[in-house]
Amino acid sequence: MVLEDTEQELIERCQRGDPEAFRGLFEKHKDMVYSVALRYCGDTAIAQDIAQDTFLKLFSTIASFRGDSTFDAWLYRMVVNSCFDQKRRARRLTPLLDEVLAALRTPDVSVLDEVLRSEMSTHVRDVVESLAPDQRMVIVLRYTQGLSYDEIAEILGCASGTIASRLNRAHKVLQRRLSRLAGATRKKQ
Amino acid sequence: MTDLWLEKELARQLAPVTAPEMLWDRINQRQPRARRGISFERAFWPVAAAMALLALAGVLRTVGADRDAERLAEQELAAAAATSRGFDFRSESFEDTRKWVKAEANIDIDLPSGQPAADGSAVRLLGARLIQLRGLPVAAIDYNVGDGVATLFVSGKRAGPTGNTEASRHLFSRTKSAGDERFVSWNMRNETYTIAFPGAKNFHGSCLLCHATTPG
Repeated sequence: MVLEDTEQELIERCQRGDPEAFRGLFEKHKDMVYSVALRYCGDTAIAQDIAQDTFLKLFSTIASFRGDSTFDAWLYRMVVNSCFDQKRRARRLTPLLDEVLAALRTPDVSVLDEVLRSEMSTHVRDVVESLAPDQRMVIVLRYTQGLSYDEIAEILGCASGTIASRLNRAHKVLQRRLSRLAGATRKKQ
Repeated sequence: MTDLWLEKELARQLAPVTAPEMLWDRINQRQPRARRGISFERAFWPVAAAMALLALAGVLRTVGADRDAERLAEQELAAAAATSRGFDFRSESFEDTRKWVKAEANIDIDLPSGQPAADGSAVRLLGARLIQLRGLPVAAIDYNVGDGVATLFVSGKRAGPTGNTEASRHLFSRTKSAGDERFVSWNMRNETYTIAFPGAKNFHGSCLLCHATTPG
């Protein structure tokens, strides 16, 4: 397959220290790495730190990549470990206020609708961020990256059944914490 | 609340995003030099350029330089750190290099618009980098001349009495030697140009960057 050959070539060039290949590999995977980081930690500055750490780690250890697992799984493991390693910094406090103010400035939509939607958006992400790290990472890999249970299991090094169990527990927590807000939104709609 | 609603909401709220443009710059600046595939030769020249700049500063201080040069002289220490980053932009094209420096630092270097002139084997651009000296942007352009590598430093444009508004004329302020390095500085169009060149044998060859023939 051409795409696989191209990536394999990029990896081999990286292993030989070719700087252009590093850039190529970065361009190919930057959105995935940054998305996982951002959705896991919820903060753009911290997400950039995580992405930077991930790529620096990737470039410094790529010589040891032997293809025992897929490159994607190898890279996912790196970003997951970087996320777990990253100490959580100050929580994001201002966006809800910003979104409410933005809604108030928009004359064509119902301010209450907009506020509720903003609150829901923020609330969903906040509730996800409040999950235990292992549950949160499963949610991110499942809903941000659309990975299967088997793929998540390979990345996290556990059985598919464990992933199903973590997702189930995470769903229950999210449902419980979001139910009141979801009811308010549906009632308004 | 249904599972379906929750799954849809999670997929919507946690959708993938695009990485910021600046991410590569952050990573590139932090990569160990060896990982960036920079050879000893390439790693040597930024250090040599930093040393040349330090030597230049010493020379300028001795001579009692004009205000532009003094500003460079005061800030040489900052240049040492900045120049150790290697090239920010690699190209053999005058036009591309000029455009890059203009875009990055708003310094319009008076380089020829074509490719390396007449004797194509004499001059070859290697790359450029930007140095911030206490808020004063300086573009450093390395190029091969014969067997050596010269560096052209151009400080940012500013208003003041020292510049020459005639693009065709140089107002040479000094030509000096320090050890094995020779320097020549001039003002042109409110910008200060300095060439640092190792070795005295073919110093005028460094002028081939912009001039097909060496000045007498």
